[in-house]
Amino acid sequence: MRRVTVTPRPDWHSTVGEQGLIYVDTELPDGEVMSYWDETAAYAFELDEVYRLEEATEELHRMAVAAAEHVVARNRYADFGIPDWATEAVARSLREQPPTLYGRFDLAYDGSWPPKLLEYNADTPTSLVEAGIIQWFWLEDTHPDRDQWNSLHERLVETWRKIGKGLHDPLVHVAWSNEEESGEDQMTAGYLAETARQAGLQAKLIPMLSIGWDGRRFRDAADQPITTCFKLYPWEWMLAEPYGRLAVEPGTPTTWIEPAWKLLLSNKALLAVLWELYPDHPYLLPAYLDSPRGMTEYVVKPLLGREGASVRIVTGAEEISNPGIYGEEGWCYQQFHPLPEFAGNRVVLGSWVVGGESAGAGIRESPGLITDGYARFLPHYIDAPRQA
Amino acid sequence: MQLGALTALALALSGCNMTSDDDDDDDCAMGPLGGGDTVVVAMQVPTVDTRTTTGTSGADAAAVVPERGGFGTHLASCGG
Repeated sequence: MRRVTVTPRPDWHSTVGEQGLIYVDTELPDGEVMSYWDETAAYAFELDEVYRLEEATEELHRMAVAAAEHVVARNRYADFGIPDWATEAVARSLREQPPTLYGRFDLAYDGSWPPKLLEYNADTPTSLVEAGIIQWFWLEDTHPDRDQWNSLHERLVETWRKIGKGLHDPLVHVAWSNEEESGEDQMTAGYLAETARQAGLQAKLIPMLSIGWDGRRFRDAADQPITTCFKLYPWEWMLAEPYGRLAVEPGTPTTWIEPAWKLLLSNKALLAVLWELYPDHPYLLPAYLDSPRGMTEYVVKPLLGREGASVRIVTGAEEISNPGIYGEEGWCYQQFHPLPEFAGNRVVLGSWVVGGESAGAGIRESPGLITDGYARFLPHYIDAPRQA
Repeated sequence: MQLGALTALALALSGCNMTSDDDDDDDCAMGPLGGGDTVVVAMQVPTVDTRTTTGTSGADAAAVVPERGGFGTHLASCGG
């Protein structure tokens, strides 16, 4: 993996906007606007390297599922801040294996082996449109003879098709929060709805706020029953809201995608459980729930934090913290492993899982050690001829 | 590697009825920190609106929930 300076397409800003990246402009705290999409540089992978990363991704996914099974078997919900009233629903969800679509590992990887797991965004990962679509069209325009670690679109359609075979009703509601104003969540939901349509399903986009309850079932604003709902809205938020209990009651006739057991994977407590189950595994960093346990350099992560908020890095030399609202639910202490630096930028590798299989990558750069909402997305290519 | 029909995707995206001239084009709704003081702390016991008297759930007949809007009040980006 290496960083390569490339020439941006003259019309790149309008191009990526037309392709769906309507959230390309990010306003900084000082009022300046930065571009979230950055094609002044790209990352190049070797083909063998991608194969190894794919295997690592799928191994991590298997380990994460095994960790979730361990949590349920040992009744360790309290470590994840899951309230007692929701535990049976989580266990049932894992036992019954309702449909699951996707997730994204964040890895620290600098081109040398092994990658290290930073977290698993397994419930509501975003940056999907840019990883699946925008960077692919960039590749077509700039490196048409090269390949890309990107089968996101095909795998999403394929997975929806498999999900569809188990549905009595082909209508899938795709819900997102219209409280999210940048458009990222809506575009992500819109893209996922399109992949469902390409799989032969009927997909209907709805805001989470428009969901209603008629006393027996959830309904959309047109009073259509919601029997299958992909929700780009975290489970922990759902459980904390008025419909939370209804969503997970056995008699409620709605299948949620992602399912409730994904609560266990998207929670930073997973990192500590993984380290317990797989100590010294090459892809893992030491992580604990009660304290740093003697680590002198570590990162304190809120169990349910998002976009780097409330994260604190403690090293012998300094403490770096990102402000935020998270942490009341508990913390995970993970060994500090600095994000690799390329040309002065800190890089995190997002490795996608769709239908349980490795499906592609997205790369974000930040000026600092914590990847937050001000990161930039850079495209990548595989330094090998494109495969048919 | 085939992405499928660009036309279909463009239709889907335009179907979202989004434009890029929103007032707040930040990367998340309330900035990277989330929704500040108004955000419900995750994993609290669900709030039940006892002022509305519509549906009840099968398992907990005593619970009273709003007819609509019982999800979606969290003011932050869900991205990770």
